[in-house]
Amino acid sequence: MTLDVLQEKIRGIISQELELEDGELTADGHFIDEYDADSLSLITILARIEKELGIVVPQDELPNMPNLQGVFDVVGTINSRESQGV
Amino acid sequence: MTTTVAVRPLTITACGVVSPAGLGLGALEEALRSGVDDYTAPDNPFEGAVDGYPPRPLWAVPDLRVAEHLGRKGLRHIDRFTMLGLIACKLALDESGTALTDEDRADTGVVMATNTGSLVSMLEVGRDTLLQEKPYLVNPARFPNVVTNACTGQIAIRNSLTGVNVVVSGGQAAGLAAVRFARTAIGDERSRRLLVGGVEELSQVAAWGWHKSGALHEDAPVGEGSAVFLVEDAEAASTAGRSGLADLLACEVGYYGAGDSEWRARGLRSCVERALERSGVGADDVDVVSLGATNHRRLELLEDRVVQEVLDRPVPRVRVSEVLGELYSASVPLQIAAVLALWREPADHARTALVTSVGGDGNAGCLVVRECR
Repeated sequence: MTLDVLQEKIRGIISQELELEDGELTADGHFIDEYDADSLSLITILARIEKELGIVVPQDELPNMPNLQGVFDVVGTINSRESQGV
Repeated sequence: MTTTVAVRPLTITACGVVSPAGLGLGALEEALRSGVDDYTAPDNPFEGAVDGYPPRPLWAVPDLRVAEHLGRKGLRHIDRFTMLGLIACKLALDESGTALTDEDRADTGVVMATNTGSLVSMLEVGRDTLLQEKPYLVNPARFPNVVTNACTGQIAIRNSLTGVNVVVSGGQAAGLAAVRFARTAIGDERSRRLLVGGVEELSQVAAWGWHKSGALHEDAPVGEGSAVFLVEDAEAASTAGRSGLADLLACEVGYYGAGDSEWRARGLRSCVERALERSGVGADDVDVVSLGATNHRRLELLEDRVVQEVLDRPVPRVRVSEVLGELYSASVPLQIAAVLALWREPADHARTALVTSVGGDGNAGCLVVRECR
Protein backbone atom coordinates (compact mmCIF):
# COMPACT_ATOMS: atom_id res chain seq x y z
CA MET A 1 0.00 0.00 0.00
CA THR A 2 1.46 3.38 -0.96
CA LEU A 3 1.67 6.14 1.60
CA ASP A 4 -1.04 8.13 -0.21
CA VAL A 5 -3.49 5.24 -0.17
CA LEU A 6 -2.71 4.51 3.47
CA GLN A 7 -3.29 8.12 4.47
CA GLU A 8 -6.55 8.27 2.53
CA LYS A 9 -7.80 5.17 4.34
CA ILE A 10 -6.81 6.61 7.72
CA ARG A 11 -8.56 9.86 6.87
CA GLY A 12 -11.69 7.87 5.95
CA ILE A 13 -11.68 5.90 9.21
CA ILE A 14 -11.26 9.02 11.33
CA SER A 15 -13.92 10.97 9.41
CA GLN A 16 -16.37 8.12 9.92
CA GLU A 17 -15.65 7.65 13.60
CA LEU A 18 -15.87 11.38 14.32
CA GLU A 19 -18.93 11.73 12.04
CA LEU A 20 -17.39 14.40 9.83
CA GLU A 21 -18.37 15.47 6.33
CA ASP A 22 -15.93 15.09 3.42
CA GLY A 23 -13.29 17.80 3.63
CA GLU A 24 -14.14 18.74 7.21
CA LEU A 25 -11.14 16.95 8.71
CA THR A 26 -7.98 19.06 8.44
CA ALA A 27 -4.40 18.02 9.10
CA ASP A 28 -4.06 20.05 12.28
CA GLY A 29 -7.68 20.16 13.57
CA HIS A 30 -7.63 18.91 17.16
CA PHE A 31 -9.70 15.73 17.51
CA ILE A 32 -11.01 16.49 20.98
CA ASP A 33 -11.22 20.29 20.93
CA GLU A 34 -12.48 20.74 17.38
CA TYR A 35 -14.25 17.49 16.50
CA ASP A 36 -15.75 16.42 19.85
CA ALA A 37 -13.78 13.18 19.97
CA ASP A 38 -13.62 11.27 23.25
CA SER A 39 -11.35 8.51 24.55
CA LEU A 40 -13.77 5.86 23.26
CA SER A 41 -13.74 7.20 19.69
CA LEU A 42 -9.92 7.48 19.71
CA ILE A 43 -9.51 3.89 20.87
CA THR A 44 -12.01 2.81 18.23
CA ILE A 45 -9.88 4.56 15.60
CA LEU A 46 -6.76 2.67 16.74
CA ALA A 47 -8.66 -0.63 16.70
CA ARG A 48 -9.90 0.01 13.17
CA ILE A 49 -6.41 0.94 11.94
CA GLU A 50 -5.18 -2.38 13.32
CA LYS A 51 -8.15 -4.40 12.08
CA GLU A 52 -8.45 -2.86 8.61
CA LEU A 53 -4.92 -1.78 7.78
CA GLY A 54 -2.93 -4.32 9.78
CA ILE A 55 -0.89 -1.65 11.57
CA VAL A 56 -0.64 -2.07 15.34
CA VAL A 57 -0.51 1.32 17.08
CA PRO A 58 0.17 1.03 20.83
CA GLN A 59 -2.34 2.95 22.97
CA ASP A 60 0.49 4.89 24.65
CA GLU A 61 1.02 6.64 21.32
CA LEU A 62 -2.36 8.37 21.72
CA PRO A 63 -0.86 11.56 23.25
CA ASN A 64 1.24 11.93 20.09
CA MET A 65 -1.85 11.76 17.91
CA PRO A 66 -3.93 14.86 18.77
CA ASN A 67 -4.77 15.48 15.10
CA LEU A 68 -4.64 13.89 11.66
CA GLN A 69 -1.01 14.91 11.08
CA GLY A 70 -0.07 13.25 14.38
CA VAL A 71 -1.73 10.02 13.27
CA PHE A 72 0.02 10.15 9.90
CA ASP A 73 3.40 10.67 11.64
CA VAL A 74 2.95 7.87 14.17
CA VAL A 75 1.48 5.40 11.69
CA GLY A 76 4.10 6.35 9.10
CA THR A 77 6.93 5.66 11.56
CA ILE A 78 5.49 2.30 12.61
CA ASN A 79 4.78 1.34 9.02
CA SER A 80 8.27 2.13 7.73
CA ARG A 81 9.84 0.35 10.73
CA GLU A 82 7.75 -2.74 9.95
CA SER A 83 8.43 -2.66 6.21
CA GLN A 84 12.19 -2.46 6.94
CA GLY A 85 11.77 -5.54 9.09
CA VAL A 86 13.08 -3.74 12.20
CA MET B 1 -67.57 -9.66 46.80
CA THR B 2 -64.64 -7.76 45.39
CA THR B 3 -63.48 -4.36 46.39
CA THR B 4 -62.03 -2.18 43.67
CA VAL B 5 -60.46 1.20 43.90
CA ALA B 6 -61.03 3.76 41.17
CA VAL B 7 -57.88 4.84 39.38
CA ARG B 8 -56.49 8.30 38.67
CA PRO B 9 -56.42 8.53 34.88
CA LEU B 10 -53.34 9.56 32.95
CA THR B 11 -53.81 11.79 29.92
CA ILE B 12 -51.96 11.24 26.66
CA THR B 13 -51.03 14.71 25.44
CA ALA B 14 -48.92 13.64 22.47
CA CYS B 15 -48.05 10.53 20.55
CA GLY B 16 -45.18 9.40 18.32
CA VAL B 17 -45.47 6.36 16.06
CA VAL B 18 -42.88 4.58 13.93
CA SER B 19 -44.24 1.51 12.13
CA PRO B 20 -44.11 -0.47 8.90
CA ALA B 21 -46.95 1.84 7.78
CA GLY B 22 -44.61 4.84 8.06
CA LEU B 23 -44.14 7.65 10.56
CA GLY B 24 -46.98 9.16 12.55
CA LEU B 25 -50.60 8.42 13.44
CA GLY B 26 -51.82 9.54 10.01
CA ALA B 27 -49.86 6.79 8.25
CA LEU B 28 -51.19 4.24 10.73
CA GLU B 29 -54.78 5.42 10.23
CA GLU B 30 -54.39 5.12 6.47
CA ALA B 31 -52.97 1.61 6.86
CA LEU B 32 -55.79 0.50 9.15
CA ARG B 33 -58.47 1.89 6.84
CA SER B 34 -57.10 0.91 3.45
CA GLY B 35 -54.10 -1.34 4.01
CA VAL B 36 -50.50 -0.84 2.98
CA ASP B 37 -49.70 -1.13 -0.73
CA ASP B 38 -46.08 -2.00 -0.45
CA TYR B 39 -44.25 -3.21 2.63
CA THR B 40 -40.55 -2.51 3.06
CA ALA B 41 -38.27 -5.53 3.36
CA PRO B 42 -35.60 -5.54 6.08
CA ASP B 43 -32.09 -4.62 5.02
CA ASN B 44 -30.13 -4.72 8.22
CA PRO B 45 -28.51 -8.12 8.40
CA PHE B 46 -25.64 -8.10 10.86
CA GLU B 47 -22.16 -8.75 9.56
CA GLY B 48 -21.27 -12.41 9.38
CA ALA B 49 -24.84 -13.66 9.22
CA VAL B 50 -25.11 -16.74 7.08
CA ASP B 51 -28.70 -17.80 7.14
CA GLY B 52 -30.65 -14.70 6.20
CA TYR B 53 -34.30 -14.40 7.19
CA PRO B 54 -36.86 -17.20 7.45
CA PRO B 55 -39.34 -17.61 4.59
CA ARG B 56 -42.33 -15.61 5.86
CA PRO B 57 -43.60 -12.05 5.41
CA LEU B 58 -41.26 -9.50 7.04
CA TRP B 59 -42.37 -5.90 7.39
CA ALA B 60 -39.77 -3.28 8.22
CA VAL B 61 -40.21 0.40 8.97
CA PRO B 62 -39.64 2.31 5.71
CA ASP B 63 -37.02 5.06 5.39
CA LEU B 64 -36.48 6.46 8.88
CA ARG B 65 -35.11 9.83 7.66
CA VAL B 66 -32.78 9.67 10.64
CA ALA B 67 -30.76 12.81 9.94
CA GLU B 68 -33.94 14.83 9.48
CA HIS B 69 -35.32 13.75 12.86
CA LEU B 70 -32.24 13.27 14.99
CA GLY B 71 -29.53 15.36 13.34
CA ARG B 72 -26.28 14.14 11.90
CA LYS B 73 -24.12 13.76 14.99
CA GLY B 74 -23.74 11.14 17.65
CA LEU B 75 -25.59 8.42 15.75
CA ARG B 76 -22.77 6.40 14.24
CA HIS B 77 -22.85 3.72 16.91
CA ILE B 78 -26.56 3.91 17.75
CA ASP B 79 -28.31 0.74 16.60
CA ARG B 80 -31.57 0.52 14.69
CA PHE B 81 -33.51 -0.55 17.76
CA THR B 82 -32.58 2.61 19.65
CA MET B 83 -33.14 4.67 16.51
CA LEU B 84 -36.76 3.48 16.30
CA GLY B 85 -37.37 4.50 19.92
CA LEU B 86 -35.56 7.83 19.56
CA ILE B 87 -37.60 8.82 16.53
CA ALA B 88 -40.91 7.83 18.13
CA CYS B 89 -40.01 9.97 21.17
CA LYS B 90 -38.93 12.85 18.96
CA LEU B 91 -42.26 12.73 17.10
CA ALA B 92 -44.16 12.69 20.43
CA LEU B 93 -42.18 15.60 21.87
CA ASP B 94 -42.51 17.60 18.65
CA GLU B 95 -46.26 17.02 18.58
CA SER B 96 -46.73 18.17 22.16
CA GLY B 97 -46.61 21.71 20.76
CA THR B 98 -45.02 23.63 23.57
CA ALA B 99 -41.36 22.84 23.99
CA LEU B 100 -40.44 21.44 27.39
CA THR B 101 -38.48 23.84 29.60
CA ASP B 102 -35.34 22.69 31.44
CA GLU B 103 -37.46 22.35 34.56
CA ASP B 104 -40.02 20.22 32.69
CA ARG B 105 -37.28 17.98 31.38
CA ALA B 106 -35.89 17.39 34.85
CA ASP B 107 -39.32 16.11 35.81
CA THR B 108 -39.90 13.94 32.74
CA GLY B 109 -39.05 10.24 32.68
CA VAL B 110 -39.02 7.39 30.19
CA VAL B 111 -40.79 4.02 30.53
CA MET B 112 -40.36 1.63 27.61
CA ALA B 113 -41.67 -1.87 27.07
CA THR B 114 -39.29 -4.20 25.29
CA ASN B 115 -38.37 -7.77 25.85
CA THR B 116 -34.60 -7.82 25.53
CA GLY B 117 -33.41 -4.68 23.82
CA SER B 118 -31.54 -5.14 20.55
CA LEU B 119 -30.84 -8.81 19.85
CA VAL B 120 -28.86 -7.70 16.79
CA SER B 121 -26.42 -5.68 18.89
CA MET B 122 -26.16 -8.37 21.55
CA LEU B 123 -25.30 -10.95 18.94
CA GLU B 124 -22.90 -8.70 17.04
CA VAL B 125 -20.84 -7.80 20.11
CA GLY B 126 -21.20 -11.31 21.53
CA ARG B 127 -19.81 -12.88 18.35
CA ASP B 128 -16.96 -10.38 18.22
CA THR B 129 -15.89 -11.23 21.77
CA LEU B 130 -15.44 -14.83 20.61
CA LEU B 131 -14.06 -14.27 17.11
CA GLN B 132 -11.78 -11.21 17.26
CA GLU B 133 -8.06 -11.69 17.82
CA LYS B 134 -7.69 -9.18 20.64
CA PRO B 135 -10.12 -7.86 23.27
CA TYR B 136 -9.70 -4.27 22.07
CA LEU B 137 -10.75 -5.26 18.54
CA VAL B 138 -14.27 -5.76 19.86
CA ASN B 139 -15.66 -2.35 19.00
CA PRO B 140 -16.07 -0.61 22.36
CA ALA B 141 -18.40 1.99 20.88
CA ARG B 142 -20.99 -0.70 20.10
CA PHE B 143 -20.92 -2.11 23.59
CA PRO B 144 -23.48 0.25 25.18
CA ASN B 145 -26.05 -1.10 22.70
CA VAL B 146 -26.09 -4.55 24.26
CA VAL B 147 -27.82 -3.59 27.48
CA THR B 148 -31.60 -3.80 27.68
CA ASN B 149 -31.95 -0.15 28.65
CA ALA B 150 -29.68 1.23 25.89
CA CYS B 151 -32.68 2.80 24.16
CA THR B 152 -34.26 4.41 27.24
CA GLY B 153 -30.85 5.71 28.23
CA GLN B 154 -30.31 7.34 24.83
CA ILE B 155 -33.81 8.83 24.89
CA ALA B 156 -33.04 10.43 28.25
CA ILE B 157 -29.54 11.59 27.28
CA ARG B 158 -30.49 13.09 23.94
CA ASN B 159 -33.57 14.85 25.29
CA SER B 160 -32.17 15.78 28.73
CA LEU B 161 -34.94 13.90 30.52
CA THR B 162 -33.75 13.21 34.05
CA GLY B 163 -36.90 11.67 35.56
CA VAL B 164 -37.30 7.93 36.17
CA ASN B 165 -35.81 5.80 33.40
CA VAL B 166 -37.20 2.32 33.14
CA VAL B 167 -37.43 -0.71 30.88
CA VAL B 168 -40.35 -3.05 31.43
CA SER B 169 -39.79 -6.58 30.13
CA GLY B 170 -42.95 -8.62 30.22
CA GLY B 171 -43.34 -10.38 26.91
CA GLN B 172 -46.43 -9.71 24.85
CA ALA B 173 -48.17 -7.74 27.62
CA ALA B 174 -45.11 -5.61 28.53
CA GLY B 175 -46.80 -2.45 27.28
CA LEU B 176 -49.60 -2.89 29.81
CA ALA B 177 -47.06 -3.35 32.60
CA ALA B 178 -45.39 -0.15 31.37
CA VAL B 179 -48.68 1.75 31.66
CA ARG B 180 -49.11 0.34 35.19
CA PHE B 181 -45.60 1.44 36.05
CA ALA B 182 -46.24 4.91 34.63
CA ARG B 183 -49.35 5.35 36.74
CA THR B 184 -47.50 4.35 39.90
CA ALA B 185 -44.53 6.59 39.12
CA ILE B 186 -46.76 9.59 38.47
CA GLY B 187 -49.07 8.75 41.40
CA ASP B 188 -46.08 8.60 43.74
CA GLU B 189 -44.86 11.92 42.30
CA ARG B 190 -41.60 10.37 41.13
CA SER B 191 -42.11 12.08 37.78
CA ARG B 192 -44.64 14.61 36.61
CA ARG B 193 -44.56 13.60 33.00
CA LEU B 194 -43.49 10.40 31.26
CA LEU B 195 -42.76 9.17 27.78
CA VAL B 196 -44.40 5.74 27.91
CA GLY B 197 -44.30 3.25 25.08
CA GLY B 198 -42.46 0.33 23.62
CA VAL B 199 -40.10 -0.69 20.87
CA GLU B 200 -39.09 -3.85 19.03
CA GLU B 201 -36.90 -4.22 15.94
CA LEU B 202 -37.16 -6.70 13.09
CA SER B 203 -34.09 -8.90 12.99
CA GLN B 204 -33.06 -12.27 11.68
CA VAL B 205 -32.76 -13.52 15.23
CA ALA B 206 -36.25 -12.44 16.24
CA ALA B 207 -37.79 -13.56 12.95
CA TRP B 208 -36.23 -17.00 13.28
CA GLY B 209 -37.37 -17.13 16.90
CA TRP B 210 -40.99 -16.59 15.84
CA HIS B 211 -40.59 -18.89 12.87
CA LYS B 212 -39.17 -21.83 14.80
CA SER B 213 -41.39 -21.41 17.85
CA GLY B 214 -44.53 -22.09 15.87
CA ALA B 215 -46.31 -19.56 18.07
CA LEU B 216 -47.70 -17.66 15.08
CA HIS B 217 -49.81 -18.82 12.16
CA GLU B 218 -47.63 -19.99 9.30
CA ASP B 219 -47.94 -16.92 7.08
CA ALA B 220 -48.18 -14.35 9.86
CA PRO B 221 -45.87 -11.40 9.18
CA VAL B 222 -43.21 -10.26 11.65
CA GLY B 223 -42.91 -6.49 11.96
CA GLU B 224 -41.18 -3.85 14.02
CA GLY B 225 -41.88 -0.43 15.40
CA SER B 226 -42.29 1.89 18.30
CA ALA B 227 -45.11 3.94 19.76
CA VAL B 228 -44.53 6.44 22.54
CA PHE B 229 -47.02 8.54 24.45
CA LEU B 230 -46.34 11.67 26.46
CA VAL B 231 -48.52 11.24 29.56
CA GLU B 232 -49.24 13.11 32.77
CA ASP B 233 -51.83 13.04 35.51
CA ALA B 234 -55.19 13.80 33.88
CA GLU B 235 -56.26 16.28 36.53
CA ALA B 236 -52.92 18.11 36.38
CA ALA B 237 -53.18 18.35 32.59
CA SER B 238 -56.71 19.67 32.72
CA THR B 239 -55.87 22.20 35.48
CA ALA B 240 -52.99 23.48 33.36
CA GLY B 241 -55.29 23.70 30.33
CA ARG B 242 -53.35 21.12 28.34
CA SER B 243 -55.65 19.18 26.07
CA GLY B 244 -55.25 15.46 25.65
CA LEU B 245 -55.87 12.89 22.95
CA ALA B 246 -57.15 10.23 25.33
CA ASP B 247 -57.14 9.17 28.96
CA LEU B 248 -55.60 5.93 30.14
CA LEU B 249 -58.05 4.57 32.71
CA ALA B 250 -57.61 1.33 34.61
CA CYS B 251 -54.92 -1.10 33.50
CA GLU B 252 -54.93 -4.59 34.94
CA VAL B 253 -52.20 -7.09 34.19
CA GLY B 254 -51.20 -10.42 35.68
CA TYR B 255 -49.43 -13.73 35.20
CA TYR B 256 -51.63 -16.75 34.67
CA GLY B 257 -49.25 -19.61 33.95
CA ALA B 258 -47.85 -20.65 30.61
CA GLY B 259 -49.52 -24.02 30.29
CA ASP B 260 -53.23 -24.20 31.00
CA SER B 261 -55.20 -22.18 28.47
CA GLU B 262 -58.40 -22.25 30.52
CA TRP B 263 -56.55 -20.74 33.45
CA ARG B 264 -55.20 -18.04 31.14
CA ALA B 265 -58.67 -17.33 29.76
CA ARG B 266 -59.95 -16.88 33.30
CA GLY B 267 -56.99 -14.60 34.07
CA LEU B 268 -57.63 -12.43 31.04
CA ARG B 269 -61.36 -12.31 31.82
CA SER B 270 -60.70 -11.15 35.36
CA CYS B 271 -58.33 -8.45 34.05
CA VAL B 272 -60.95 -7.19 31.58
CA GLU B 273 -63.67 -7.18 34.25
CA ARG B 274 -61.49 -5.46 36.85
CA ALA B 275 -60.27 -2.88 34.34
CA LEU B 276 -63.85 -2.00 33.38
CA GLU B 277 -64.94 -1.83 37.01
CA ARG B 278 -62.00 0.26 38.18
CA SER B 279 -62.55 2.61 35.23
CA GLY B 280 -66.23 3.03 36.05
CA VAL B 281 -66.99 1.89 32.51
CA GLY B 282 -69.79 -0.54 31.70
CA ALA B 283 -69.52 -3.27 29.09
CA ASP B 284 -72.15 -1.36 27.09
CA ASP B 285 -69.91 1.72 26.93
CA VAL B 286 -67.11 0.01 25.00
CA ASP B 287 -66.92 1.21 21.37
CA VAL B 288 -63.94 -0.76 20.15
CA VAL B 289 -61.53 -3.49 21.25
CA SER B 290 -57.90 -3.39 20.16
CA LEU B 291 -56.69 -6.99 20.21
CA GLY B 292 -53.14 -8.15 20.87
CA ALA B 293 -53.02 -11.89 20.22
CA THR B 294 -53.81 -11.59 16.50
CA ASN B 295 -52.01 -14.31 14.50
CA HIS B 296 -51.04 -16.20 17.66
CA ARG B 297 -52.18 -19.80 17.44
CA ARG B 298 -54.86 -20.61 20.04
CA LEU B 299 -54.39 -17.34 21.93
CA GLU B 300 -56.06 -15.40 19.14
CA LEU B 301 -59.30 -17.34 19.62
CA LEU B 302 -58.96 -17.31 23.39
CA GLU B 303 -58.62 -13.52 23.51
CA ASP B 304 -61.55 -12.98 21.16
CA ARG B 305 -63.76 -15.39 23.09
CA VAL B 306 -63.01 -13.75 26.46
CA VAL B 307 -63.78 -10.30 25.06
CA GLN B 308 -67.02 -11.61 23.57
CA GLU B 309 -68.05 -13.21 26.87
CA VAL B 310 -67.42 -10.09 28.95
CA LEU B 311 -68.99 -7.59 26.54
CA ASP B 312 -71.78 -9.97 25.50
CA ARG B 313 -72.46 -8.12 22.24
CA PRO B 314 -70.64 -7.57 18.94
CA VAL B 315 -68.14 -4.73 19.34
CA PRO B 316 -65.81 -3.66 16.50
CA ARG B 317 -62.33 -5.17 16.76
CA VAL B 318 -59.04 -3.62 15.68
CA ARG B 319 -56.21 -6.00 14.86
CA VAL B 320 -53.17 -3.80 14.44
CA SER B 321 -50.73 -6.66 13.83
CA GLU B 322 -52.70 -7.52 10.69
CA VAL B 323 -51.27 -4.33 9.16
CA LEU B 324 -48.00 -3.97 11.10
CA GLY B 325 -46.96 -7.58 11.67
CA GLU B 326 -46.08 -9.21 14.97
CA LEU B 327 -44.60 -6.61 17.33
CA TYR B 328 -44.07 -8.59 20.55
CA SER B 329 -43.42 -6.20 23.44
CA ALA B 330 -44.24 -3.18 21.27
CA SER B 331 -47.70 -4.62 20.53
CA VAL B 332 -49.66 -2.89 23.28
CA PRO B 333 -48.25 0.59 22.53
CA LEU B 334 -49.15 0.14 18.86
CA GLN B 335 -52.58 -1.27 19.81
CA ILE B 336 -53.17 1.97 21.74
CA ALA B 337 -51.82 3.99 18.81
CA ALA B 338 -54.21 2.15 16.47
CA VAL B 339 -57.16 3.29 18.58
CA LEU B 340 -55.92 6.89 18.55
CA ALA B 341 -55.37 6.66 14.79
CA LEU B 342 -58.96 5.57 14.18
CA TRP B 343 -60.24 8.25 16.56
CA ARG B 344 -58.73 10.94 14.35
CA GLU B 345 -62.05 10.75 12.55
CA PRO B 346 -64.41 12.64 14.87
CA ALA B 347 -67.48 11.06 16.50
CA ASP B 348 -70.51 12.47 18.28
CA HIS B 349 -69.46 11.15 21.68
CA ALA B 350 -66.28 10.44 23.67
CA ARG B 351 -65.36 6.89 22.67
CA THR B 352 -64.02 4.12 24.89
CA ALA B 353 -61.65 1.33 23.89
CA LEU B 354 -60.35 -1.84 25.48
CA VAL B 355 -56.77 -2.81 24.76
CA THR B 356 -56.22 -6.48 25.55
CA SER B 357 -53.15 -8.68 25.56
CA VAL B 358 -52.38 -12.31 26.26
CA GLY B 359 -49.02 -13.93 25.59
CA GLY B 360 -47.69 -17.44 25.27
CA ASP B 361 -45.61 -16.76 28.39
CA GLY B 362 -48.74 -16.50 30.56
CA ASN B 363 -48.93 -12.71 30.88
CA ALA B 364 -52.31 -11.17 30.21
CA GLY B 365 -54.01 -7.87 30.82
CA CYS B 366 -56.39 -5.15 29.75
CA LEU B 367 -56.31 -1.36 29.56
CA VAL B 368 -59.29 0.99 29.22
CA VAL B 369 -58.73 4.05 27.03
CA ARG B 370 -61.21 6.91 26.79
CA GLU B 371 -61.17 9.65 24.21
CA CYS B 372 -60.73 13.19 25.54
CA ARG B 373 -63.35 15.73 24.51
